[in-house]
Amino acid sequence: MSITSTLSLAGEALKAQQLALQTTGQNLANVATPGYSRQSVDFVTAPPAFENGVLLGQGVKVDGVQRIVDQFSEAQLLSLNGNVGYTNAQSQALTSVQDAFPTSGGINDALSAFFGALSDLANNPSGTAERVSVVGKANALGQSLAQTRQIVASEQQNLDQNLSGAVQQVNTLLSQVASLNQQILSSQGQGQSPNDALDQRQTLLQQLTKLTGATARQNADGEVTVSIGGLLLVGGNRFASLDTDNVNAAGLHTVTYQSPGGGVSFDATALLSQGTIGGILNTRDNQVQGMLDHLDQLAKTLVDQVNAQHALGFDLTGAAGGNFFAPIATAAGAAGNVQVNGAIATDPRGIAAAATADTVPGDNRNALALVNLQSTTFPALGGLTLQDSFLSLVGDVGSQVQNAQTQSDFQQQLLTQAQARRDSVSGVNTDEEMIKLIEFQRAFESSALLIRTADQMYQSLVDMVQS
Amino acid sequence: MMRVTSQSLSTQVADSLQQAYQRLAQAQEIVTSGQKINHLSDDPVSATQVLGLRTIEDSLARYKRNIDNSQPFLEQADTALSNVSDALNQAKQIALQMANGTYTAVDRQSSAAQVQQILQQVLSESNTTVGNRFLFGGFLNGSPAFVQGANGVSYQGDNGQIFIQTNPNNSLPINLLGNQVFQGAGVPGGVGIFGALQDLESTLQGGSAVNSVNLAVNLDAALATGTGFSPTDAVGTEATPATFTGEANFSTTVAVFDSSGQAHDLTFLFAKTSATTFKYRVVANSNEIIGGTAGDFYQVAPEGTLAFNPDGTLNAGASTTTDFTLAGLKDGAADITISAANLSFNGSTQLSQPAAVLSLTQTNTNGIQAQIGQLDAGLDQISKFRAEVGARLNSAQAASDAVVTLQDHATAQRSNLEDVDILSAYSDFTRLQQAFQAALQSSAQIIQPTLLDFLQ
Repeated sequence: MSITSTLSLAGEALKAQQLALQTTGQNLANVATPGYSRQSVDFVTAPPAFENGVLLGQGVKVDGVQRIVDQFSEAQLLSLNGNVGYTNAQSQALTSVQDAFPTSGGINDALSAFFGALSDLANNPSGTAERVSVVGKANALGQSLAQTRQIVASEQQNLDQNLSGAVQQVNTLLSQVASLNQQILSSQGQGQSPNDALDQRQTLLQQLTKLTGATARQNADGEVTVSIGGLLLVGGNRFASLDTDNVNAAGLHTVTYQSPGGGVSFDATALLSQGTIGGILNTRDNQVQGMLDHLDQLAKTLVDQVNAQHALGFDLTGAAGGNFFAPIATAAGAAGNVQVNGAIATDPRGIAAAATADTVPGDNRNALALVNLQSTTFPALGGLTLQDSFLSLVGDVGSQVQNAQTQSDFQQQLLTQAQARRDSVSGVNTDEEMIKLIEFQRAFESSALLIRTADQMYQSLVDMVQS
Repeated sequence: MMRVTSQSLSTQVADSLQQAYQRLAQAQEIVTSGQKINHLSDDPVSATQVLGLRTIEDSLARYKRNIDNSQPFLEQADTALSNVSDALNQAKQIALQMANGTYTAVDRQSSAAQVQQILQQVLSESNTTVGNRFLFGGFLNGSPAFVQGANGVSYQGDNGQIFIQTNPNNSLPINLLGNQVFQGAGVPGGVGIFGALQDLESTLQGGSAVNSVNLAVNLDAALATGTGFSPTDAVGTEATPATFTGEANFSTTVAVFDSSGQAHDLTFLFAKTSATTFKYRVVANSNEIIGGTAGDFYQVAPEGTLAFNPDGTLNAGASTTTDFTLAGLKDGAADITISAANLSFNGSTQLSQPAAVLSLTQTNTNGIQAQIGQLDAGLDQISKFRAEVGARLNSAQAASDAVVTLQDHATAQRSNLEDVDILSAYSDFTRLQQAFQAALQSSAQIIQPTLLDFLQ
């Protein structure tokens, strides 16, 4: 063995430890970086060589810097992100919708007050104050219905806007994933391990699955293919795009899919059933729409039934009753249009409290019949009374919100657990890194000592020659 | 072994602090609002029940309002009927007084004016209002229920029955129908109150009297057949009583009343003329008739026949009765008329027993006495309706009590569902606050130390 080879061994060792120190530094620096996977240096012993007929070790060699990841944990995180996105979107939207249905006051009390006013009218069918009160309470009921509908409808609009925002984000992510795909492919082609690009892509994929619930499959060459239900989003460096330029019959946006390169374009709304976008679409088109439909049906039934009974009666002047509410032709939007018929609003004598024309002013039979509508069940409301139909809506909303919140909490918990598992493999522990730091520092120092020793050996030799 | 990393540790600490904080915030909301349910999703089932109970409470309050509203109607009706009752009693007193023969026609006419006053008072009671509604007018309660016209007082209402709801399944009628109360329409044995007072008034003024008599007698079957009555059978025939009664087998006297309530005696005489036939005559004392001879009898009606069946019962078909009028009374009273239809001998028998009066039923309308009967019937009618008002007031009270009980029940139930037990809420809050502080302290201790702290 020559001193030169000792020197060169020590030199390689110094380089290796320095690299290790640098990797530790990288780990420590990224202790708080989301999605960062800790890296470690692969030390291998350098191939031994024959010297003086002996097989001698040639020191250490760095085989590469590895990113420590557990593919299973990463995959689990991706799919859980989709669920969290879905349940979060649903829970947030429904939680703000439920404010439209307060636990006191609101439509419930307004409905009750309307029938209360009719009942007071039955007590004194010729009273002007009672008649004015009926009109007032009916208008208050109309406003209450309209306000509630307005709050629910505006939440639907919010969801619609959120949809566009989410779709924009998806487009950005798709292009970023595609470009990272390309970077990774070219780095790997050069034999390098693009650790940071991989981490970055993984983080983007998490965001993407959270938004869409898309699945990502890694190819042998390191590229990922992203798709939703067979719909290709990213393949290699090519990526599809989504837009919300079109609207459906209800005036709400649909999502149009444009294949990579723009060859194919179609309405993909129905395919987007997962992730934040799926949550938004389902909440917007089914749950919130269901509430609107229920409210509208309730309002239409109220108007139809009250009008029908009112028309059977006779007003204070002995004229036939006609419509009490301004008639509503179709259920769609009905809850926003409950208003007292203009003629009656101006002259409440037009309220038909009497059952026959020649029994005014004391006849309260039609007023009593109107009051009775409160406890009448209607097929249009699924065999429920007006009040019970509203209560069933309220109960529905409450349960939906409760379910959504429970689901969202549960999925969030699952995600936290999966994140903890992922972090337990890939996360940085400063204490651990600190220990490595000391370890590599000591190794560095010992290699340096080896160089000094070799140097002293040279010196001894030189001294020996000179003396 | 699971590696614990710096990031997962801090995430976990942040998460658990967040959760503890959320629970604390929730407990705080409960304490400050005093309500268990602040959002539907807190407890959808209870929240729905609370809304339902609120509606029930509303309806109950409404039923209570309905009942309270009915109170003035029923109470006013009671007062009105009580006043009518008093007025009728007053009229009855007058009638009783005037039926006494010591009062003169002048006295009677002045009390007739009093009766007219009473009638006006009853009329005003019959038009009692609550607010601007006429109590007895039915549905047509915007205008007076009773109006006095040329033909007396007439009902202007429509008998509409006004109901109020006292609970989801029950209604209570709150008005009495004027037609029934004051006119006796549709009431069994009903009396027109106004008619009765008017009749009393006109009777006191001096109107005609109509009597009806049902005299059931037994005539002894063992009597021998005679020849009948001696005097000529003609109205106005006068003869001594003995002349009339000489041939008669049986006689009885019946008092009938004239228009001023004065009694006049009529004597019915029966004489057997064949095995199954009796003839009868009706005579009055001649001194009651203008131009009559004192001490004589005066034939009032044509002779009639009573025919009997072999079994002794009256053969009404074979018997004959005629109308008669007692005219030209000395005291100036109007004629007393008894029509054939109003005179009957139903129930008479021919049995082998001493002759006797079996029964005598008499009505005399328009006579003061008769008027007293009318007034009594009227009083009965009014008190019957007062009893009905009383019953309705009772049932309104019972319904009101029931509503109050239900209200208490519903309120308690709702409070149970939504109101917080403040002690347990506050202790929950304190417990969570302590838990939160404990979490903060332990987190501070977990996060701080790293190896670096010990390397210097």
